[in-house]
Amino acid sequence: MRLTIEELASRVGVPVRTVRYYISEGLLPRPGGRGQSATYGEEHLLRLRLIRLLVGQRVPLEEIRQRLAPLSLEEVRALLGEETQRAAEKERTEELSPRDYIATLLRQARVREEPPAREPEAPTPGAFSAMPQTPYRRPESPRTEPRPEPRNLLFGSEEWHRWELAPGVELLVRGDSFYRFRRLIERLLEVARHEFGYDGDRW
Amino acid sequence: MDEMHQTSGNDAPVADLKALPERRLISFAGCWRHVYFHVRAKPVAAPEGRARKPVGLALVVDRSGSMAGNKIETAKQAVVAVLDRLDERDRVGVVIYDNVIDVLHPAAPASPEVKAAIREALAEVDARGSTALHQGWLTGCQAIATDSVDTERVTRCFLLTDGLANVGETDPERIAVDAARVRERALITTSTFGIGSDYDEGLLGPMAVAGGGQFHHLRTTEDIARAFMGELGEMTQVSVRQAVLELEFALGLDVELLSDYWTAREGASRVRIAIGDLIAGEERHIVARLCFPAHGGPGEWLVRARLLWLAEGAPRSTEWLDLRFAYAPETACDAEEPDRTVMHWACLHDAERAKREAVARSRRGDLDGARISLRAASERMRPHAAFDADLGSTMVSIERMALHIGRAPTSSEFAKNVTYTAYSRTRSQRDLRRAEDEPDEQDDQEEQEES
Repeated sequence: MRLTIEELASRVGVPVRTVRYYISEGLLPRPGGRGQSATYGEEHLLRLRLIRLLVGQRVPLEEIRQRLAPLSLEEVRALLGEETQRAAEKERTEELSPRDYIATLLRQARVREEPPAREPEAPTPGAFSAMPQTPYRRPESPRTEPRPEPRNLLFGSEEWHRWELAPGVELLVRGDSFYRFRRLIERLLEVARHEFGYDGDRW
Repeated sequence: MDEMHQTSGNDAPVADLKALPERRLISFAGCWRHVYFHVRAKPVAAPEGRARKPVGLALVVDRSGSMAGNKIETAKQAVVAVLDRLDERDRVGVVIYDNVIDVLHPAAPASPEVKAAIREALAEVDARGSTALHQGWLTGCQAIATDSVDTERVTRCFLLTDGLANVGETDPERIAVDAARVRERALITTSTFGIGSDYDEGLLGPMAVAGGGQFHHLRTTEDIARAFMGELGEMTQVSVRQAVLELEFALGLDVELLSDYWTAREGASRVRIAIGDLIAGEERHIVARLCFPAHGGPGEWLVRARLLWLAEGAPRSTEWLDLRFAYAPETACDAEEPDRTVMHWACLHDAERAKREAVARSRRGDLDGARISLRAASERMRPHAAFDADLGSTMVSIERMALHIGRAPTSSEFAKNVTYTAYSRTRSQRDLRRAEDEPDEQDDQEEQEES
């Protein structure tokens, strides 16, 4: 199977930019070939379908990436089968009365409320154990995720550009500032490319 | 213009839809174009058309610790005042919540006995605990929900709170999505009432938009009863229910809404915009932005729009309206005059959005960003302001806001006011907090903040 990005996107019913976004976020593997001759295969198609099903269940993208990354093509196929079935079950809730439907939402809310099982914590490397750990959190409102939905701008209309300069090093630029400082940012990236050996191609 | 004007062929009550593009030409390089939609529920001439309609109402009241004293007492009085307006034709339920959800009275016809029972139960209520807002609200919706969708009765859930959701689901986007689901599946509208300066307008605003209702920023405890009664009054006058604006287009087009309405995509080529309930004669002005991709040669885009709604229990719709856009060279696009009506509404709604964004940035300490978002909106407006006095004065007001907003983070009260005003203006909703003859205070308050 050899698909162009447009064919892949239309088979699954998502905008092309969503496919590009998933690739840049490491949710989908890169295509074979580059530029105009880039092609996508069954692996891309199945993974993209699975991602869309999980997104539909409101699974965060980060979680989807972690869940799908270690899976083989066969495992992806199996999981897609299970999830498709689950989606069909969800569709059956469409038959519920308004009262029962809201009861379902309440139940789901209570399940989410229960604290998730915690994974055993990784031992902290000795050298850092004395230092206060302040995990880096990205500011809440910047969104880099192009939404498959028409954007509901109610949750902040800000557009942020993001470049990964090296593993764990990112440059975040708000949309309007991007246009203001474009040349400077280009120079910064030039330096980063040189210093970090950065070879990202997100423009 | 006339071919752009569509009315449903069904019996009254009816709504009509008008669609107007900013320009008909689109650039080969790709571009965006505004489209203005005008939605109106036809005025009803016959007096019997104005008869009060029965309603279903769930009142969900926050009893968390911060409501102690005047707030909880006034809220209880407001609930009693609402009860006094209802009778056996209506259904009413009351839910009180802190971290525990308490169904004070399950939904029932508002008979004298039921009303007395609710009054009695209310007397026992005092403030305590924390805020399980999402569950409290959902419990209210569940209480008023019926076994089959109630197409006859306008049904809403009023949520009153003074604080932040801090128990259970607290993510604004997820809560808003639930509000949209409840509206779509159960035809229950959610309206939110935030009192004081500690609640989260970033939650209550989107929640009401998603729920198809109205967000009320209440400055004083007196506002509680006024807003409750005001919205109840509107509910009894609704003629066009749950209006939805539907857009259809070919794959590859992107749609963004400038006005504050909830949008949901169905597949990759249809968008549903939740307009909500309309009173006879009521109008809504909706501005969408269509993003057209680049294209190599001559070509055309077709975008279709129609309005769907419920009237007297039956689904109705207008015919489809066709909007056609043709690719052309940049110079031809520039030569086409943008439609002034479209740009009027586009710029006004853009300005409200910029103000809200500026306030949000300012609250985060990004003063520079706050100023930039206002200045940028002002620049976008400039070419159109010369022909349009409203735009001229809006430009002056956002320039003025840009001047002072860069100095210090704005107050919470100011942020709530700007958010409330933005939603009211872009959704064409009336300020129900004051009597008809009181003057509009909004601009005064914006000025107060400056001084």
